[in-house]
Amino acid sequence: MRFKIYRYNPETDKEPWMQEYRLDDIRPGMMLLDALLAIKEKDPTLGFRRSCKEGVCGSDGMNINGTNGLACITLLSDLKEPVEIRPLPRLPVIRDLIVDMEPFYKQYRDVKPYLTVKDPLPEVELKQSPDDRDKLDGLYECILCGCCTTSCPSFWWNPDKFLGPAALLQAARFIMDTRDQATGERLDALDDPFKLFRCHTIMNCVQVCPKGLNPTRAIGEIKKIMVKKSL
Amino acid sequence: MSAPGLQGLRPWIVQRISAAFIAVFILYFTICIAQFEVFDFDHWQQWLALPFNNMAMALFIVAVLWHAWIGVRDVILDYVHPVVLRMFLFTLVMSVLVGSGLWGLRALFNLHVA
Repeated sequence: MRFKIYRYNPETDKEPWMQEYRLDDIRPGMMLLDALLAIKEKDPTLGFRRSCKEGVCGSDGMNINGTNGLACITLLSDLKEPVEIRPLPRLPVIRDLIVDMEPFYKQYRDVKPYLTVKDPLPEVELKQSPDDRDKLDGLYECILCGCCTTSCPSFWWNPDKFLGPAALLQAARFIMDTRDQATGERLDALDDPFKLFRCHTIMNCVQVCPKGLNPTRAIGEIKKIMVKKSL
Repeated sequence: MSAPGLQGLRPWIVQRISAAFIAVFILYFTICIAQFEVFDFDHWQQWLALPFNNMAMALFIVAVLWHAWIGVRDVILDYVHPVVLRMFLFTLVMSVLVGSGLWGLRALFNLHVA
């Protein structure tokens, strides 16, 4: 099977380039990460992140044949040859397929992804009814791989101002949480032409999310809550 | 706010309300003119002489221009990043839209009092 992989070492390369590799020992059920590990055995200079190999840690997000995804849960048999692998788009490349996730994490921090409780905290845990807990389904499962945000054209156009689907999904997760007492502040912080309203429901985020989440719907829910609050 | 003077929620709501009004007006207008075999200038005058139609057309002009402003504003915010160029384009678009609106309303008003 043939692969074309983005290579860039800022210490030695003036510009990025594509390197071709060939793997002959392709077994049924083999994932793209298995292939990358096999390639790395041949060429230890190739750099990429990976950890759990099970689609849980979100480390191996990359652009595979033009679509973002996790290498560890992408079947080689589903890919067209040559498999073209590039780093996640619009993030600074540190080396080869390794990108600087800091701009992405900054967006995440900007939405204050933690419960804010103003009342004195109870002696026991903050309780929530099963119905209220159900509202968080489809929001809390995000693994922060960055596939959605880096596939979003609004993020490509305004990466420093638009918060991106992953951070907005987290914003929705805490806005929906009945235990949180900073809903008003959270909504006010998003009422800006860029942070939330650059989303044009392009839905690339939904298409690429390896966990099957729907950030576009979450963004729509935030808008609905904003409208209700403003009326 | 990352862009002083520009808002998020309000334009988004206005865009949707204006879109709904534009859709309803176009449907109403289509039904009205479908009742004429020929819809010439005299028919236009007669149709717009009715206060309801005249007011609806005036609102339609405002809705279209406001909707257009928000749409073009969004495109400029997405693609044009130098602040000076962005301000120039905002001014240019706003001038064209306000000018068009005043022209349209003047034509409508003159027609009404004629």
